[in-house]
Formats: sequence, structure tokens, C-alpha cells
Amino acid sequence: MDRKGHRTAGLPGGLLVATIAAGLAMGLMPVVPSSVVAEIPSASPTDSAAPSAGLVPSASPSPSPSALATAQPSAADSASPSPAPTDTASASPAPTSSASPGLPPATVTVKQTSSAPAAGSHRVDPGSLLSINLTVSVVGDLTGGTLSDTIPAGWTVTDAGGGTADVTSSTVRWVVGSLSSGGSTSRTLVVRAPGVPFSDGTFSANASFASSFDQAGAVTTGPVVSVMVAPVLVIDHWSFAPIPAPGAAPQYLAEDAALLDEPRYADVRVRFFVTNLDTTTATIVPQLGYESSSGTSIVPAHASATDPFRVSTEWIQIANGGTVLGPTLLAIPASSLDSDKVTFVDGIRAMGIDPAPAFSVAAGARTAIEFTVRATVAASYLSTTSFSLSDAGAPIAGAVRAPLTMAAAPPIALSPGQRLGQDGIDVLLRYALIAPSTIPQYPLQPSALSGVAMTPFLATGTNVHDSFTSGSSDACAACHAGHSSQGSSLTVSAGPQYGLCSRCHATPGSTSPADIIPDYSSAPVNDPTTRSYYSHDPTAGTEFHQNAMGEVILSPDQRHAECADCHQPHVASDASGPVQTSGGWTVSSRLMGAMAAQPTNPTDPTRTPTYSLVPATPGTPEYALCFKCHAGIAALLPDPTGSPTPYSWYELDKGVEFNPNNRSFHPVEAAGSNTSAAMASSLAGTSPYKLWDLSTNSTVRCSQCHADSSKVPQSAGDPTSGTNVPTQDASLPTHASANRGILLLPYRDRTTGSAGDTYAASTVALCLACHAEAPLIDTTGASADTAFSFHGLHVSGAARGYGSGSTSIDVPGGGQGLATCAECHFRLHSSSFAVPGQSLGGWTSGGLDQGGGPGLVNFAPDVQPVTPGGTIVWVRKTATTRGSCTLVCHGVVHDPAAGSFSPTY
Amino acid sequence: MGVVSVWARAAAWSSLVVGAWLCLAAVPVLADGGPHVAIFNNGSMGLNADSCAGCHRFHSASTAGGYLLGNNQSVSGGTLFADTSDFCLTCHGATGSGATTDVATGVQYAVTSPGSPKTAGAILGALRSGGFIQARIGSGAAYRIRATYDTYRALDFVTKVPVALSPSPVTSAHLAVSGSPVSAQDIAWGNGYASFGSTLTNGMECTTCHNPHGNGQYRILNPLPAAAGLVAANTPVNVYDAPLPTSGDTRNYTVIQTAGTTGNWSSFLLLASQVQKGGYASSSGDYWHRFVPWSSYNGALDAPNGVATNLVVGGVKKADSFDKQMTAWCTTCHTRYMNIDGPAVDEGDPVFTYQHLTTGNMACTTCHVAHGSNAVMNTDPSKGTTYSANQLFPGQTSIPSAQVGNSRLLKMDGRGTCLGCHDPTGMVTQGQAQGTRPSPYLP
Repeated sequence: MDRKGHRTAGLPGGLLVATIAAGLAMGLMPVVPSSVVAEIPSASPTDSAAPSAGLVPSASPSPSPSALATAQPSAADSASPSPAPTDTASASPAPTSSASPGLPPATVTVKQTSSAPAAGSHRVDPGSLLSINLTVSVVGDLTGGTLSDTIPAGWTVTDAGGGTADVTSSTVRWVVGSLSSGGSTSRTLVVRAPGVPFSDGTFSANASFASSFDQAGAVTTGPVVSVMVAPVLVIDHWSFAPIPAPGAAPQYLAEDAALLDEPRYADVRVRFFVTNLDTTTATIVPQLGYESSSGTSIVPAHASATDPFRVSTEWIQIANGGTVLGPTLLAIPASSLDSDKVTFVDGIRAMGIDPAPAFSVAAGARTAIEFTVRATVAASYLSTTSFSLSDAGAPIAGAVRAPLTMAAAPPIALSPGQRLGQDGIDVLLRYALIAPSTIPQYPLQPSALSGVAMTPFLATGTNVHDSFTSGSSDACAACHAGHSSQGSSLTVSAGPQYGLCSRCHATPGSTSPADIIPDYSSAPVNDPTTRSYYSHDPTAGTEFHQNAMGEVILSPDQRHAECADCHQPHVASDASGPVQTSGGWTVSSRLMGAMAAQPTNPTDPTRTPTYSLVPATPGTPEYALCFKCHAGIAALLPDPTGSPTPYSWYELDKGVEFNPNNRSFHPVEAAGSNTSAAMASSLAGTSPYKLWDLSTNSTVRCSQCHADSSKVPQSAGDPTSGTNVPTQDASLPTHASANRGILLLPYRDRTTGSAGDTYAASTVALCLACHAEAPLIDTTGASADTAFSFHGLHVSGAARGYGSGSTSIDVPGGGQGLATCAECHFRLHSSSFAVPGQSLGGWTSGGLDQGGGPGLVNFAPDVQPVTPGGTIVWVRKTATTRGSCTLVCHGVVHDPAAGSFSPTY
Repeated sequence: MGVVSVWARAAAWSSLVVGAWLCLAAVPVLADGGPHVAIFNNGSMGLNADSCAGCHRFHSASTAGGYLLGNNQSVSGGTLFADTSDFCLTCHGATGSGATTDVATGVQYAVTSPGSPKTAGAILGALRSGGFIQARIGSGAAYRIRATYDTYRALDFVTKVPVALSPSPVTSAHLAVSGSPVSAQDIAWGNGYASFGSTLTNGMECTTCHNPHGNGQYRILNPLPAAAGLVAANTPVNVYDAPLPTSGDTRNYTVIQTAGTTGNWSSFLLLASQVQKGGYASSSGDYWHRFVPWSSYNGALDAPNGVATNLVVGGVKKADSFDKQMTAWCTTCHTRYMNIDGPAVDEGDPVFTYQHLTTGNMACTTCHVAHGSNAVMNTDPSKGTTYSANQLFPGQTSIPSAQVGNSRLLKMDGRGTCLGCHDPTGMVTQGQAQGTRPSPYLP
């Protein structure tokens, strides 16, 4: 059969008959016991004279299609009414050859029936068993005879019913003893139909069983039982159609072309062409399966964490230019299946359901059945599987399988210095990154609905968000409407997720702590081109990070923040705050339920942690929520401007940075490694911006540095200074800040001071939230709040005017005046990712110094080696040895070997 | 004056006689062989039908509406019934006789002897449709257990809403009858054309939905409900009934009372043979049935609602035909509530833009009762919130005070209706149960 279902030609129809006759004539009638399974061997199309039609053991090769075709009508014939398999008795003719002399032969009637369906073409499944019953009735006494039934090529005798299977003549014979006039006797033969596809690729064949009775040479020809061997539907071709983007037109590949390079999360249609060869309507329940380790698995509508595929609902274009989810079932017009519109009838396309509803194909019709599927996060890259169509799970014989190969993991575009993220559960999506300039930016505006007068149903102290595990709730109605909703999640408001949240949390003029308008009111607009971010902008979209199926997507093309990324609206509450532990601060109940990336740290800090995505529960570290987007489990933003990217713009892997196995680090995941008295004194000391008195055993929250600037005094002269200072476990929202980097307090890290500058605590206010100011303003080196007595000399007492003139911290040789913290503590989160070319007494890997010295010492790009191309060297002071710097800073050479500035301490 | 008095006395005597007939002739011995069954009214019984006189008075009727209905003889001197619905409550109310089904308080009684009031019989159970004045829905005592756990979807709960031990005033009802404690009735939300929230204000009667003369439909529902102001659907919807019970039996209209075999469809269904006899405890049963009785298990009875029929899963025909028919029937009035596209599809209607699916076993009657519900919508006691009590009806821009607390015929307090199937937190683990396990327990 060709791809349109047209039957290919067979050999001349009389070939098998002629072959059998030849075998009989030559007396080549070897017999096999009836218990031996026998099969009709192939007839070689090139050796028609050989006695090839006969019964052989079942291990014999498969029948050739030509041999089968010769025994059966052509494909065109199959549409014609064929003899019914039952009640095909024929009257016994007069003896046709010499009978035994003396006694007249009895009049014999042979009746033959089969278990094949009476309707249509009497179709039987390939490989199925067929029972044939033969009955001999006599008028006049019968002295005996032989009942015969011919077996078509390719059929296997599984039970000869007491008869003898003759391999050569492809005949089963039964010896019938004497019968009195009016008597009858029956024999039952069980045969197995050949399987499909046949060796010529066809999926159906007709077969005839001819009965006869030999009474001492007088042969009575009995009826012929004809059946068709074919599946309920012939499924002979497939076609894939990837859908490039939601709502885009599918791109159909050539028929029978394997699908390669299929990415995760992309929809693709898989179409099967089916033909009903019978003369009656065939009905199946189309079910899509895929080849798995356990055989064939159903493609589910809702994938579990281990299901590599699920059936998918397609997005369709709507009039206003948007897309919406389409229906679950559509008809495929016949006109789209074949240009001649002759052989095809309408098919069906199932989207999001498996199985599809029962589907009927008219007699002789050809059509298509297709499903839309999507590879999930569990689909392994480069793996190959195949899809198949079944009838409600029951395999369809001979059905083709459509092969699909997953694409390779897409590469990540790394920022300079960024390490490739790793994960333990194969959820990292290594898609190519898009240019940040294409990320839409929206001015933060109160929701259009926020002005709608709402019944004040929120009583003081109540919470709408945490009632959903109790089994009863009043609160669903606050956000959802079952029938008259305006949002696709049955939410009462349309548009971005923020629009719904803002109904309660963005009320103009509100002073509620739960109102986020004040958080954003002083934040400048984000500027991706300079990596200047002041807010987690929640207005940029909706449902991007967690699709309709709940799959967490961390693809960079969806890099933005929305409310539900940090606040699971059905779980969050105001019930409990964060708790400090030796392993960092735990999430508050406000963040409970949101997905978090829990790291497992390698001992070697030059390696990348592995991550597990888990919903935040009590005890989940708060930083794990930040890691979901700011660590290697997510694809971080690439270089926004091309090369070279200023070092101070790098977006680095926070999981690497806060690994407690680093030589030094800020104590986010664990207490710090510096437990010296000087550090304890620094933490206990005072400053104009002091917020918290910590100890060397303390851990800190990300939000103690990155949080809403309106929550704390922003200048030393602020009248609220010293009052309204939040405790460490207070709500420190990271929504937005007036300070770049969503910093809680000002911190100068991209520029250095100019020649005329004087010390200003405001430039390092962030540091002073925890650390004492004394070391910075004491130029005598007498402060006990530091282990480095020259802090004051550098920050407030150094000579100025030696630099090149640039005040950019990223320009080599820049800096004119006083040093700033960031010039010696450039990477502030930890000692990792130091600017190359520095020897800091830290970790080495592969023979290279990886930076990462103690005391968070690592120098900014404006600091240069003494010798161009050389190495910046810092040697830490110990109890027995002096420390030193060998470098050029602000135009001042620090070279112990040369004695300049006596730079040892 | 004297003439008038004579005529008045004659009329009063006449009315009393008629009233006595109403009470005695309509006793519940007829049960399901009663006056509403089609075979008694369809003409095939010949021209000697007896049932007409049960309700109609050829010469002495004075009830408004032109139906020649008898007067209310339960009131001294006889008065007009307020409307047809009040007339129906003569038999189907909380007192008197004539019908075992009391739609006023939402119960069904066992058959009593002729002449005995219905209340003399044992309460057979709570009506599946609730009641118009009181109902016995255990709306605050729901139970759910997470039977399976799908990481990404939370539709795998087995949920039960038991029958309350005692009745409570309804907080919403489909129809305004005398004595109803609620407002916002007689409104067909979602009826008519796009952009409108409702039609049909104060135009509804029992006969809007039911055909008192019998029509062979499930609960004698009109295939195409009709009332003043209603923009009816174009296509009538048949809701096929199960075969009538054998003579002498009473069809049981109460909530599902028995448990079946776990894993078998009969676990969630009552066959007709299971509900004809009654005799179950009045406080048992489950209002939350995603699968319902009276399903013929026959695809030929699927409703003509445009939904794919003959649903076969795994080679087994699913017993959802009734649900489809019922949903299709409800949406002949609530036309724009029908949603076969999925909740994320913009229906192009400014009011009903996105909707919950109403297909398969997510039928209207999964979440709602037909007559009235006593579900409480005022607070979450643990939180003091009143979200569900202060909801706009479709198309509304403000909430009338009389509407506050309207339960919208839902079966569970607050928005338990949502949580009966959904766990938006993803934190309820498989096997975890909430609430008091009702009896019977499935599974």
C-alpha cells in the first residue's frame, strides 16, 4: 500500500492454486502431525514452479506478500461483497471422478463456517486465531472418505482438530468413517492469521479456505470461507508538525519524517494517517502512547514530575492579537489532508486530552488522527522515543510509530565571571538568553481596579491568604469567580498578576504595611542597559514563571519578577517572621509555599552548588528563594553591552558566592569564618547608620542589604535616625529601593572619590548598618574595631590627586582621591569571583589562584599591578608576620620591595 | 346584603368541600403514580383522566394566572394563592398531605396512609435539591481526603458534604415562595445576550422548570423552561428519567444514601433499584456527588448540548450522561454559564469572560442545588473574613445589602465548593483528610 492507502499490485491470482495442484499431482504430500504448528511458506515470486505452497513449521520465514496476494483478491476486490463466513453450504455435486465400483457413492454435503464477523469483509485482526468448522452430511450410506480444507499462505495451523496437516498441499485432511444416511459429522480447525505488516509493507490481505470431500475419488467441492486480515484501522504513516510559538501556525514535516531537535515545552502535533479497509464503519478510541522503559505509556494530560510528555492544549490567535487556549477537540478538514479531496474524510485533532473521544471511520475511508503533545522538564535531552496510536490502550497491529528525538541542552550565555549553574534534578533550562533591552518595562501604576469601591471585607488582623489547606475557606471569593471572572485563572481581574494583587495591596494613600505602593514610589525606573535595577518589577507579565501546568520555568526569556514568584497567594500569611539559624535565616510565612532553590554546596568553592526546587516550608532558608532567580539554577542575564562588560555590572551566581566553604563570605548561609575579636568589636561598634548589633555567630538575611530603602533612615541626619529601625526579623521587603541594586542603604561601588572629596559616611552607609565606623575615621590606626589599622588612612585620611582622573571603579588606574570600601572589597558577597590577576592567599584550583582571600579582600578593576601585566599581591598580616600590598591604587604605587609608602603593616 | 351573605356562605361551604378534596384526594398513596406522571396525563389513558380535578376548578377557580386553580382552602374562607408556586406548596410544602416531597424544608417523607399528613411519616432523607425555605445541607461539615496526588493539578480529592441533623434557613433559593428568608431570587443570571448579567426578575414559578402534567422527563422538567422576561435557549434539552418504580414504591429524591464498592462506578452512583425503596437514615447521605443517580449509562441519552457524547475512557463508557443533560438543561436559562472550552479561554463576553468548565462531572449540580441552600457565606470563623458574603453577582457594580450572604445555591460554606476539588497550595498530601468523615464513607 502506498502512503495514500492505495493497494499495490500482487501476483496473478491463480498462482497458488496452480502450485497446490502441482504438488498434489506430483504426490509430494509430506505430512506433519496435527499437533505440530505449521505455516504456509512463502511462495517465491521468482520460483513459481517450486512446490512452495505448503505446511511447514512455524519457524519458517514469513510469507511473502506476493504469495498472499496470489491467494486473495486484490485490494480493490476487498471492497466488494465477499462470501459470508457462515452458512456457505453447497449441495453435493455428482462425483466428478471414478468412484468405487459396486456401491453408489453417498450424496455428500459439505458445510463450512468460521468465527470471523459476518458483516463487512469478515475482517480478522492480524495474528488472531480463527476457528473454522466443517460439517459433512450424507444422504445414502457413506463408507468413508477424506474431508479437506486448504490453508491460505501465511496462515498457521494451531489446532488441526484431529486432522493431518499436509505441508506440501497446504491442506488439512480428516479421515471420515462410515456414516449412515442422514448422518453428519463435524471437524473444527483453528488457524492463526499472519501478522502485519507483511514483507512488502502492506497491512491487509484476503484469504480463502476451500473445503472439499473425497469419497473414493469422487470429490465434492465444499464452500469457500473468505476473510480479510487487517487491523481495525491501518495506521501506515505519520507526520509531525512543530508549533514554533504559542499561536503560531504548525509546520508540518514530510510524512514519515522523524522529528529531531525537539525542545522542551514546545508543542508539536503528531499525526497518524489511518485507513479503514473494511466495508463497515470502524470505531476506535484513539489513545496516544509513547515508548518508555515499561513498554508503551499513555501520554498523560497532566504530567507528573517523571512524565516526559503530556498532551497539550494549543494556543490560538484571537481577534485582538492575543492568544487564548484552544478547545480540546477539533475536526481536521479532509480538504487539508489531501488536495484531491477524494480519498480522505475529516479527521480529528485532540489537544489536551488523551484518549480522544471515540472516533469512527467510514468503510473504505482514509483520514488522520492527531494529538498535540509537549515535552516536559522530564524529557531528557537527546533522548529518542516514539509515539503510537492505540485503541483505548489496545495495540493496533502493524501500526507505525512516530519517532521523536529531543534536542540537546541549549547553551547558556554566561556573563563574564559567571559560573555555569548545576542542578540535581535536571530542571535547569539552558536556553539562549535574549537581549535585556527587549524585556518590556512598565511604569508601576496602581491597578485600574484599585480605585473601584470594594466592600471592606478585610477585617483588621485577618488574612485572606492562608485558609486554603483547611478544607473550607471563605477566601477563594476574594480573588476568584467561577463564572464571571475576568482573568484566565478565573480571577476577578484581568491583566498581569499584579493587577489582581493590587486590588488590596496597592491602594493609593494607604498606609497599610501590606500596601506596596510606598515600596515602589521612590524607586527609579530600571535600566537594563547599565544593569541598574531598583525594583523587582511585578507589572511585566503574568504566569510566565509557572505555566498552567505548574511547571516552574526559569528560562531567561521570561526573566522578570511577579508577585507569585515570592508569595504563594494561597499559602502566604503574616503569622510568623523569619528565624535565625546557624544555617541562615528561614523564610517568613509571607514567603511560604513559593518555590525555592535549595543549594547543596560543594566542598570546593570553585565548583557550583547543585539545586533542588522545593516549595518553601518552615525551615526553608530565605536565601533559597533569592537563589531561584539569582543563582546558577536560573539562567542569568548576559552581557548587556558587549565586550568588555564592566566588572561591576556582572551578574554572578549567588549560590557560588555564599557557599560557606569560600575563604571568606558574608554570613548568609552560615556564620562567618572571621571570629576574631576585631570582627566582634566591629559588629558591636557604633555608626551613624547602625541598624543591628550582630556577633560573629550571626547570620544575615539577603534583605538586610537588599530591601526597601524606605524602611530605614537613609542619611545620618535623617530625623528618624535611631528610630523606626527594623529588627533583623522584621519585614524587609525586597520589592524596590531608591538605591541601585535594591540596596537598603546607599553604597558606592561603581565610582571612586574625586580629588576633592572628603570622607562621607553616606557612601558606605550599607556597611555601617552592621559595622562600626571608627576604623574608617580613625586615621591613627588605633581603632580596635578592625584587624587592618590602615582603614582610616585609606578611607578618610589618604593623600589625594595622584590618580588618572577617572572616577570609574571599572577603569584601570582610575581613582583620584580617598579610597572607598569597594576598591579593596570589590566582590562583597564573598571572596569568590575576584577580578583576575590577583594573588590574595585564597583558594587555588588547577594551579591558578581563584582569588577568594580572607577578609573579603579583593581589589577593584581600577587597582593595578605594579608591573603592567603583573599580579596584584596582598599578603595578610598574621600574628607573626607582617602584611603587605603590592599594587598601584589611585596612582599610588604600593611596593614593599621598593619601599614606597612603606606599605607593610 | 342578605343575598350576598347567602352566596358568601354557599361559596364558603363549596370551598371547604373543595379543600377537603384537595387534602384527601391528593394523599401520597399515589406517590410516583401521582398526578404529575406522564402516563397518567398523556392522553393515552383515554378521555377519562381523573387527575385534572386534583388542581383545577372549572367554575370556582379564582387564582390568578388563568390556570383555573383551586383556592387556598387552608385559610378560613379560602383565599387566592399568591401565585402558582404557592399552590404547588399545598402538596409540596412543609405540612399537609398530597406529596412526600417537601420542597419548603428540603426533606422527603415516607408514604403515609391516606388522610394522614406527610409529617406523620418518617423522614426519608434530605432532598438533593435542598429547600426553598429551609434545607439540611451539612454545608459546614464537609469532609475531603486527598485520594491521589498529582504534582501539578489538585483535582484529586474525594469530597463529601453530609446531611445536617436539623434544617437551617436557606441563604439562597431559586424561587421566591411565601416565607422565603432570602432575596435575590427569581433572577436568571447569565441569561440572555452577552454583556448582560441577568434577566427574569420576579417572573419565575415552579412551572417555569417543572411541568405539573408530566412529560416523562427527569423530575418533570420542562425541556425548555419558559417565563416572562426569560430569553430562552433555542434548543430544548431532554433530561431523561429512569424507569418508573414498581407500583407501590416511592421514588426517593434524597441525597445519595448508600456506599458502593470502591473503584467501581457504582461507588458513586445509585441505580434506580437502589433508591426506589428508601428507608435510609435521614441524616446520612452526601450532597457532594460529582456523579449522580439516574444515569442511564447509555450514550443515547446524552444531552444535545454540544458536548462530545458517548465518552469512552479506556474502553469503558463513563456514566456522565446525566450530568451532561443536567448541565445542558440548566444552561437553557443560564445560557452563558455553559463552558466547554476550558477556564483559560476568553469567551468574548465582558461579564462572563472566563468561566469554570461545566462539562463531564463538573456539572452545575456538582456545586449547586436546584431549590435552595443553607450554606453560610458570611465568614471564615477562624479569620473573620467575609469575602464570599460580599460578592457581586454577574454584571453588578455594587452589592445590595439584601444580597450580602447569599449562598448562590452552593452546597458548602464559604468557598468550600472550590476546595472540594482544588488544593491551590499544593501542600495537602496524599491521604491527608480534613473535616469529620461522614457516613457512609467513600472510599
